[in-house]
Amino acid sequence: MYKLKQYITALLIMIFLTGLQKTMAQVKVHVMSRKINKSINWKPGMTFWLTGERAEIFCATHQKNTIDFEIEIISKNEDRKTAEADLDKMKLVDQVSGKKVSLRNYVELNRGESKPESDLKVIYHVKVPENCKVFISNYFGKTRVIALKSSLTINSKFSPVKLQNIAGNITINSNFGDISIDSIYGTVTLQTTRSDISIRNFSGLLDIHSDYATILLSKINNLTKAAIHADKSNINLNTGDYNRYSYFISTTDSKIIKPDKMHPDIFKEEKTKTQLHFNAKTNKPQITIELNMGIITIEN
Amino acid sequence: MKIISAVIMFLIIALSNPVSSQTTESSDTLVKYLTPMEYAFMMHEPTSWMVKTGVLSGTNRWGSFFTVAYEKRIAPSFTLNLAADFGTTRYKYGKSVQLSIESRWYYRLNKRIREKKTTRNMSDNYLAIGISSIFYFSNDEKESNIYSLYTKWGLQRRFLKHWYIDFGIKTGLGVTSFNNPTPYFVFSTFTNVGVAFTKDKFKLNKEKLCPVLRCYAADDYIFKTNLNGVLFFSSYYNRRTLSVEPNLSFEKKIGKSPFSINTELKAFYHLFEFPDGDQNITQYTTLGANILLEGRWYYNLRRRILKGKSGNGLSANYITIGGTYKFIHEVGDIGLNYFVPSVYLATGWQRLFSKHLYIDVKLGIGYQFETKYTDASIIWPLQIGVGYRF
Repeated sequence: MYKLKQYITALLIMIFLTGLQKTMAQVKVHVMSRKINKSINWKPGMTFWLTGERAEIFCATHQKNTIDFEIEIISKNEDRKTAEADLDKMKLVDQVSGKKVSLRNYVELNRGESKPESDLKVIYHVKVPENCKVFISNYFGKTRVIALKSSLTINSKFSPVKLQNIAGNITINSNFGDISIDSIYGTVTLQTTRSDISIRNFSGLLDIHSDYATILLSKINNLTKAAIHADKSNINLNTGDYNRYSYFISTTDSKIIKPDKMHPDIFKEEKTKTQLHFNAKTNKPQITIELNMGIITIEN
Repeated sequence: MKIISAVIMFLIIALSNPVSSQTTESSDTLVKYLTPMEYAFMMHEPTSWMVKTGVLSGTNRWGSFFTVAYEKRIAPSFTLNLAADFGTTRYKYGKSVQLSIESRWYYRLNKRIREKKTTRNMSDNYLAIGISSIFYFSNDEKESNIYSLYTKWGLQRRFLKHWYIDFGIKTGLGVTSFNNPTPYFVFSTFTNVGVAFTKDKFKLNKEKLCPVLRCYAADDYIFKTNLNGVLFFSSYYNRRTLSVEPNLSFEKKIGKSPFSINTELKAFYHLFEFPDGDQNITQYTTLGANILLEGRWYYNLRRRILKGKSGNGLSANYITIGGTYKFIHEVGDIGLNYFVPSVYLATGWQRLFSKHLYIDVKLGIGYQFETKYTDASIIWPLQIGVGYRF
């Protein structure tokens, strides 16, 4: 019993010391920030181009005829002076040239200056008129767009993209950034590499070209047409009712998992290639899939 | 004539070997690793033909020339370059055109392709052999129409898709005319800068070019020295030209604005020897210095920053207003000393590459004031600056 008490005491001391060490190891981080607000008059036909680096972009619509942006630049460092100096290295530039409104943040180094050591981040809150065409490029950040009703083009690297309540033509090129789309009506073209895709509540035309992806389509009730070309990817179709669509699937070195009730018109398996046609002779909306090395799952 | 025949035979043999070029071109698109600079020099692009147009300084004649050329691959490491150079020679001979045809051997190419360092392109060092003929439009001395057989060692680089630079040395043998053929020796330096067109496979990736374009750099001042035209030497028949023009420029940005002040100090020594009517050799030597002061407005700097092509520095297109003040000392019995002032308005294109390279091309219109020894005149200032900055 005495020994047990000794063990418990020793254990408590160790836990206390570990906690103390952690407490002592905490470092004070200085956070410096700068805010910029600007509003630009918008006229029909004007487009908005935003190029972000290490940026969190939140783009939404409003009822005014202006493009409003609120930008916060944040610099974090243990050393206050370094954080301040690095904050100045992050520059913002905007221009209205004809019908093009451009905005960009970038790191700028004066002669003899070193690269920033601080953790730099830029947060954009942009509001555009509903019918404003938007072009966004973002690297090492996040992009979120809500309730746009015109045209949207996103070039994204190492940045997740989230879209909600969008209508119109949407084009996204993404490398190493997952895409999440919810409630979309329009024509969507996705070109991705190593980016997972999740699409819910989709109506319209869909064209996907993906490498190394998990593609999840769910609640796609009003799909007009979909074409998916994928390599080394898993595709999951949850349409609510698989019988609502016609399917033209061809795969290489891949597996097709379908509902037991689904009886294809054509189901050919030749060595590594598989071909599946379902509802081929109907006028139902088409889903065409070409897959190389992966799994297709069609759910009930 | 035998030599010219031999060259023509060489070109025909090279032209008649297209099969090997086809087989090789299809297999050399893989490149292991390219530095950003090599990427900017388009070494990832296989090139089978190229149309070039630009400005030329050097090659036998001393002056400013406009050149048009077509280069076509005729064998794996060989190309054929057809060129026409139009322009005005300094001093005596006036307007002229030089037509040339040369075969280029890109001597490093095969080895570099084997090592997967480049593709079969025209952005490399070469040795060339060719023939040329110069025709002077406004010249009484028919003898000065020159036919020559020459060899060249050149460094040609494509850069950023639509640009090229080609510089090196040229040496050869010439005759003044076929009626009275008198052989003579030719030696000169040359620099050729301009735009190039070809069919490329790949789109340039802007991000890869950032270290070359220094898209993050905001230089508020630069020192630069133009290496084009620092030294030009040409010797043919009984004519000799020597030009030495060391120079140093300093450009300072005004705050963070797109405006700058550019200054240049250039010293020069020109020696020109030519026969006069009595077949005596006349020597004309001048030396002096030129001070330039100009204000520049980089009108598209903001757009370049927005496109990620530049920082807020001195790398953009510009409009400039400036003036020069030239001191000239004519060496000779009389030994004239005089100053020539001029003013000008010009447009230009300056790009800063990598850490130490720059290109500055400027063209404009100006007015040279009347002095005791020179008349007032309209001038067309043209500068092709390719050099080193620090």
